Parts: sequence; structure tokens; C-alpha cells
Amino acid sequence: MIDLAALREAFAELENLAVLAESGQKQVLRASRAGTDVVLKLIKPGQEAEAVQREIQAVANLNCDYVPQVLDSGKRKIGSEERLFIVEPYIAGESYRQQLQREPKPPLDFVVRLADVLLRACCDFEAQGIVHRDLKPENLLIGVEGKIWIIDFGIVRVLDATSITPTHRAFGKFTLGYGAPEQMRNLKPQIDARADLFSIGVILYESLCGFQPYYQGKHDQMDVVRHVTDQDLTPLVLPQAQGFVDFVMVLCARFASRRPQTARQALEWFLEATNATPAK
Amino acid sequence: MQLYLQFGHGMIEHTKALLKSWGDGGVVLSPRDLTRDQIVNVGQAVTKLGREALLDPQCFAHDADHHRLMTHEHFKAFSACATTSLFTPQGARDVIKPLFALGVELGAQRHIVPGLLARPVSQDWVSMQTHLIAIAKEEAAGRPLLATVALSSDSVRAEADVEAVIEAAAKWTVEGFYVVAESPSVYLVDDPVWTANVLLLVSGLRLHKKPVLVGYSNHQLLCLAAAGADVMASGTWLNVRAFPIDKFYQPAEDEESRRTIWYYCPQSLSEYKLPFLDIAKRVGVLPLMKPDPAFGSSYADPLFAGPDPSTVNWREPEAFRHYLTCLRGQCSLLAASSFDEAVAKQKALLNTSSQVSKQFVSKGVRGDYRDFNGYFDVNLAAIAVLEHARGARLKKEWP
Repeated sequence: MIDLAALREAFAELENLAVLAESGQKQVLRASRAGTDVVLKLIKPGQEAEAVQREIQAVANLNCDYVPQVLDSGKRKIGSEERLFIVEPYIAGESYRQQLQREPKPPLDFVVRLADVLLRACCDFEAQGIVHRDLKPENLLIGVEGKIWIIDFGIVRVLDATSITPTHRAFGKFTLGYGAPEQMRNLKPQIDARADLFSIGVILYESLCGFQPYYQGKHDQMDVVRHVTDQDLTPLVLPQAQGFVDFVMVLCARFASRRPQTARQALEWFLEATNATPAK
Repeated sequence: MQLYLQFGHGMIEHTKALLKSWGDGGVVLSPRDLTRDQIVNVGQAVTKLGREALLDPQCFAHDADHHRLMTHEHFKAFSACATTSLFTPQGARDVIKPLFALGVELGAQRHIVPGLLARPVSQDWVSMQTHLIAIAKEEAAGRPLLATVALSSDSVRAEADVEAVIEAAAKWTVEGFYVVAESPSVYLVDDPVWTANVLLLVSGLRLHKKPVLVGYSNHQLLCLAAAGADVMASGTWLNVRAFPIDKFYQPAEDEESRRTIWYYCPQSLSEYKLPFLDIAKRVGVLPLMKPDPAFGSSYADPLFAGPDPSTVNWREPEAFRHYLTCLRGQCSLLAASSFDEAVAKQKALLNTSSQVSKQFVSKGVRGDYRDFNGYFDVNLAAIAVLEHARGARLKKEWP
């Protein structure tokens, strides 16, 4: 339960505080700050402080058109507790997951635009030396004006920094069905931009065929794990855009060595495959 | 793709004759088959011809005990030390120093770094590779290094093992790779998974933008041209045309005890005992078995000069030189400027050879266990897997 009174006291600069959502990791509130709608993310106590700091720093340093910038961050005492927080612009819209629930197979031109945005964002991540590691429809926001945003850097990996996940763990941090096999198996030396490319591939595959390909027909999570690690996805056929579809299949390759080796290379292949114009 | 000679028993004269007549190629020298003096002499003779001589450390198995291997200083040190000692800088140096000294003496311009046979590809194996490469770098005096990538046949069949090697190799500070894939059979391989994975391994390593040499090969591995291999190495006896770890242990026969002479027909990718060429003559297909001049071999001309082939004085030296010269010609003809072209050439070779072979079989001309009829599908499947798994990258990054 959030003590709104304590919250208002701690964040005097924010008005109209209202709870938006809550997850295992954080509480998310909507507010206004100097006339602008913002989102306040409060990290729950007991979360890995180092991971959160890393998330905050990663996003703060990022120069990416598709990621909401960090307006403020730090620690504040709320009641008797010190809590980590992040303030970002509020984006009116819905998650891509919500859109897919309404329209499982969006128009092809939207999917191509989505690919363009995700790949360009991935290039920005790569330039900054970070791997998002949790790209999935739930973490994509479609703004009311149609712009696509990438959110939630909760399990971001900073490539130069010491890893937080113990190396001996059999499984790393991932979302089942979107996490690359090497990420699932905690094969740290192999986790780089190629892991994000895999996730992008799965999102695009799902958008093209109308269902999550790794969940379809599975009885339990281990079935899904086995599919992701042991079997390539069934090739898609779309004569009107086969070049783009073949590119999506390459992103979904089980082994990192079979995907484009960098985000920059992936974007080049994508542009070649589609003659896509730059996303707005 | 070039052809190098994989040294085996009795190859000194073949090497000199072939490299001189070809004008290109090189040799991979074998401590198992040569004394130290022979290695130096042959190496210097080869480099004098302007060809490359490489020295295969053959440190595949720590418990290997072939008597001739054990006469070499580097192998004595390798054999004497515990595997865990090899992990220490001094332990590795005790092996690499004399090995590289011999390499310099024979005239090698590149050194092959020792590498244990992976069975399986484990973190320990990767760590050992990295460690040996690091020590080799210190001892190489600036000479380029080729990392030995030796995989057991089970490891080759394991896709995850192959990919693990490719990932690890991205970080190795070497200038190329020397691949040795243990064969699951004595000669030709009827396992499409093994063959496909060899192509995936070689292509994956080649995509690190460093040359790849594949040892212990035969004509079945002409498909390596589609994987971007720079060199395949082959030789005379079967134990240098396929990699058998057994040959590094005693007792092992140095060469085939049966003295069967085999004629290699490049058009059918098959080898035939000479009596079957007599059959071919009787049924009218012998002229079709004569090698095309494009392959560059005149060694088999006496077999097509008129008399029954089995009555002609055509022996092992001619047979070996004919095989290797044709193989070299085929390597050359399979060169391609793009992945698509490389694959098209492979498919054309296999489809055409299949038709020729079937025609011979229909007339009773068979190659016994060296008839390629059971293997065309294996290679076609392997090419299909290569296209599926690596096609996207190879099309854009063809070496």
C-alpha cells in the first residue's frame, strides 16, 4: 500500500499523484510537474539497489529518440523509508501487448515501422554499451500520436560493468519466449546486442503470424525453454514481403553467430531488405 | 579453395613431385610420420619451391603413445606433463618452445598452436585453448598463429558444441584456424549431421574474417568450398584423408595392409578397383571414366590407352598422385565469388556426379565402399543446412 500523504510530502514538486500500476519490483504513479504529465516509479524495498542504479544510469546516459528520458532520479525518504525513484515523462497510449490483444496481426507497414524503430533504438543501446534484455510487447508503448517508445530497462546489462547475476546460475534474467537462448542460459560472454536482436525478431515474428510462436501448443515453461533452445522457428512465407520476412527469421536464429553480429549490421540488412524509409 | 598435402606415411617423394608440378599448394607436416630431420628436410625443400610448409603439433590426446610421435621434443614434453600442468605457463611453454623452434627450422611462416581434441567442448577445453594461444603468442616472435580446433566426432555432431567453439574463437588472438574433425567412419561419412556441422563450424570460423584450413580431408569435403574454407588438406592413405584419433596410439598400422589400387573418377566422385575398370571397358563406359583435362591429371592416362586397365602397370604412386591432382583441380573449379555461386557449383557437382555414378552402377561398374552413391544425399543435406543456418551472413559477408 502506498502512503500517498507521505509521498506528497516527499515529492512536493509533484501534483495530482495517482497510482497507475504495481509490479513485484516497483510502484508506478502518474503526476504532474510544472504543468507536465510525468510518471513516478518507486522501487520497492529489497530490490537489488545496484541493478536499479544501473538502470537509472543506463537510461540517463542514453541518447535515443525512442526511450523516455529520465527527468529526475535518486533516493528520497518516504515516511520512515528511503526509496529509490525515477521520474519520466508520461506517455499517453497503450502497450503494444494491449494493441496485439485487440489486433493480433497489425498491418504490414506498421510491423516494418516497428522493426525500424526497434533496430534504430538497438543501435543507440549498442553505442552506449548496453543491452536492454527485456524487449517484448509489454515494454513497448504506442503513444496516442502513434510514436513507439521502449520502456523498462529493469534488467539492462551494461557490457563494461561487472555482472550482477552470479555466473554459476543456470539461468540468467529473461522473459520466457522473448529472451535469447544465450541470455536464458546465462552465457555472459555471448550476451550483447545480438540478444536484443533475437527479442526483436520474436516480436516481429509474433506480429506477422498473430501468435507468440514459443507459447503456441506448450504445456509448461520447460517446453517453451526447450523450443527456444533446441529448435528454429518455422519459416514464414509472405510473398509480398519475403525479403523482410527472411530478415526476421535471421534475427530469430537460435545461435547468436547466425544473427547479424551488431545492431548496426542488422539495421543495414533491414534497410537493404525493405528499402525502408527512416522512421519518424 | 586450395589443396594442401596432409603428410602421412611415404609421402616425401609425392610431396616434392606434386608441389613442383602444381605450382601452388603447401604441406602439413606430421611428427607421427616423420623424424625431426625429415621434417626439417622436407619443410626446407617445400619452402624452397615457394610453397608453404606447416607443422601439425598433433597434441590431440595426452595419452597418445605412437612411437614416432614420442621421438619429438615437443611431444615428449606434452606427454610427460600432467594435463593440469599444461595449464601453467611453464607447462605450456615446455611444449610450444621446441615446437616453434622446429617450425622455424623447417621454414614455416605460420605456426599451428597445439590443441587438444575436444570431447566434449567444455569450459575447461575453451580455457585450455585460450591459455595455449596466449603462451604461443609470447613465443611466436611475431609469426602468425593458427589455432588448432580439434573436435571429436560426437562434438562435431553436437550443434551446441560447434557454436560454442565459434563463439569462443571470436576472442582468440590468432590469425587463422586449423580444423581437425574426427571422422565417425574410416573414410566417407554417411551421417549428414556430422557433415553439416563441419560446414557450420568452418563457415562460422571463417566469418571471423580469418583463414581456415581443414585437415584430414577427402573429396567428400569439397563442400568446404561453400563454407568459405581457404584450404583443405588431403593425402595418400585413408588415415590422412579422414581423421582417426587411433592412429596416434600404438599399436596402429602405419598404412593399409591390403594393397588395393583404387582409381578415382572425379566425374562420379567415386573410386574403383581396377578390375571394375575392366568391366567398364567391356560395357562401353570406360571412356566416360577418363578424367577431364580440366582436372589436370595425366597420371591415369595409361588406364585408358587400350589394354585392360587391370593389366597396366599402374600402382599406388600413380593412383595417389592422380587422386590428389584431381582433387586439386576440383578445389580450383569450385572457387566462387559469392555464396550463391558457391552453392550452385556444389549442387551442380553433386547432381551431375550422381547421374554419372548411377549410369556406371547401371552398367555394373561399382566402387564398393568408395562408391559415392550413398553419399550424394548426405552432402546435399549438409549444403541445405549450411544455407539455412549461415546463408544470410555468408551472402553478405562472403570471404
